[in-house]
Amino acid sequence: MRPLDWAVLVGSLLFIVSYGLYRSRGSNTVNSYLLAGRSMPWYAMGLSIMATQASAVTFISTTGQSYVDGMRFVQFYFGLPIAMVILCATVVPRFHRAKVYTAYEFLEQRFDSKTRALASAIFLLQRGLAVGITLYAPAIVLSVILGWPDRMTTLMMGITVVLYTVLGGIRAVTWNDVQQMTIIFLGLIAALVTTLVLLPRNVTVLDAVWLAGAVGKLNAVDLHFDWNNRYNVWSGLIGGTFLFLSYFGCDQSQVQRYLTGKSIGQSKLSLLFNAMAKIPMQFFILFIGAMVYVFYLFVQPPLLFDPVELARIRRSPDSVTIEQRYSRAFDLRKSAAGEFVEARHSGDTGLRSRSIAQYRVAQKQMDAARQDASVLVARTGGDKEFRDTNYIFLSFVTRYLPPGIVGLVIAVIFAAAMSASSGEINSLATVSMIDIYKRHIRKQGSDHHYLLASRVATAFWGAYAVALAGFGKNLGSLIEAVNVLGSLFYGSLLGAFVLAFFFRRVHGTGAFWGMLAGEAAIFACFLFTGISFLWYNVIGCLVVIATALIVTALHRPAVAG
Amino acid sequence: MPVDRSQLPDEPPPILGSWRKLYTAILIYLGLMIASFYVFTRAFS
Repeated sequence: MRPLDWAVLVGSLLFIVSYGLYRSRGSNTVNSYLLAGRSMPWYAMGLSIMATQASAVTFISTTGQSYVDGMRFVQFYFGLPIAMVILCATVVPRFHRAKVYTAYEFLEQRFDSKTRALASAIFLLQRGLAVGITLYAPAIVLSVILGWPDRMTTLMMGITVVLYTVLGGIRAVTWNDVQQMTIIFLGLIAALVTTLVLLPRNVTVLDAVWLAGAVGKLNAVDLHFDWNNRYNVWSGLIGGTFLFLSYFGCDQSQVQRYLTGKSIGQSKLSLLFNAMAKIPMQFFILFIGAMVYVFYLFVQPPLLFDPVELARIRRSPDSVTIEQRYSRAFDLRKSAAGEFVEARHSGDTGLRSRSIAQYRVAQKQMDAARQDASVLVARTGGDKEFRDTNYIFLSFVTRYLPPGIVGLVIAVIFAAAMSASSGEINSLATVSMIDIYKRHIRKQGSDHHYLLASRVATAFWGAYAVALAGFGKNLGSLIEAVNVLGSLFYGSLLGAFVLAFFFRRVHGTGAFWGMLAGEAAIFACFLFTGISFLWYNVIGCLVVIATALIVTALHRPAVAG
Repeated sequence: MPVDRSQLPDEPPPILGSWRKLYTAILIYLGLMIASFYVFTRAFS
């Protein structure tokens, strides 16, 4: 990081945080602190929803995932527009008219207090675990750039987030998100343009796209159905729809964003804005990852993208031979890539086929060398399940992007992480305060008392998130970790809301036992089968509905009077 | 006295006249996007 990068980074963050706090002035009632007085316009909510979901993980991990696995991850989002349309037609008007603070409050209106308590507990458990990962992601950035320990950087980020979330409430969170998304869009465009500019002179943008396609990185759509394949059109359209229905319809961190809308129509527009913009944005981010891969076809990538682990294995004499093998394989791959471009320009199909075959041989050798390096990491006392997917993009940014752009990209990652974790902390505090404290512990407090309790709950969840962030390192690709974690809990929540909206005869006891059975079914799938996590929501939801219907048929509650 | 907007009837969307038409447009947009991604995948693979 050079002085210009620091200036851009510090300037951007100061502007975002101070603007958010400025817009949050007057948040001195529970309603304004938790729901912004139901006054937000659609574009602010829409960008806030996008920002809360995007987070730093989107930048760090999605680009790395594209580098390793190609663009097929985009299919994960195919269900999102369908989910948004369903939510706009069903959930949004009902939540608004019920005037609830949390989604789970609605479950008590429809069922009973135990169903609400169970749903709240599932949310607190799931989101409480995920918020640690959200905070951990930017800690990687600081540890890579400054060489500080993850734990220390997590603490620094956490304190900053907690301070402005405690002070400003949801208004600060939402307006911060708006600024953050502006910076994200700028940062995305700057990152792609500079990546393309950094390609060798004889490689055009079209060459780069053809190269990425030839090496299997542009695999955006896979029509082949396979239960165990995480990303294909069908898992995206069916599994993704259920996941996003759960996420945007039952997860308070998202529901709270559109509950702040000044009308039902404004809340609907905020979701439909995401339905339109989310997939192109993810495609764009994945495309950046694919172009970073093409860049590294011509410039040797490090053996390991995590500099700390790379330094560790370099202290072992075994690393010398691994690095030599890696360099030789890279030279072979680079020559294959050059020949591919040459063949494309000359129209020589024979040379083109030979270059692809040579690329495959070289890539296998590079993969083998990297695998040996991972084994060496474990042997020299490092992480036994070492993966460096999350370091790929950051390593590229800090090594090759020009001054100013590095600061901008780092600012994007910081701002994204801060906004996402602040939204999560804010929603965790809201559920703790409204669904637990106000409902079960102190029912008759003053508004001032509940405002204070909300701030205390926010500070508590911030501290909890920081403490949990230490576990993020062992979770592989962070974005997958977040989504897998969510899928372990969302299916049963979704089932409860489907029952609430579409099954009038089901009573509270049926919904309660249905949710428990759904959760058991999901964990059974996770522990004992190889079924992809995108299907957990479908399975969990169906088990909840089936169990609730059976319990309702068998158990008729006594009618009072 | 402030207006309680949550009790107001659902207002029409700013474009296409009705929410039903807007939802249909979003789903058509999704179909076109998947089709274009498929063409993109096939073209460069």
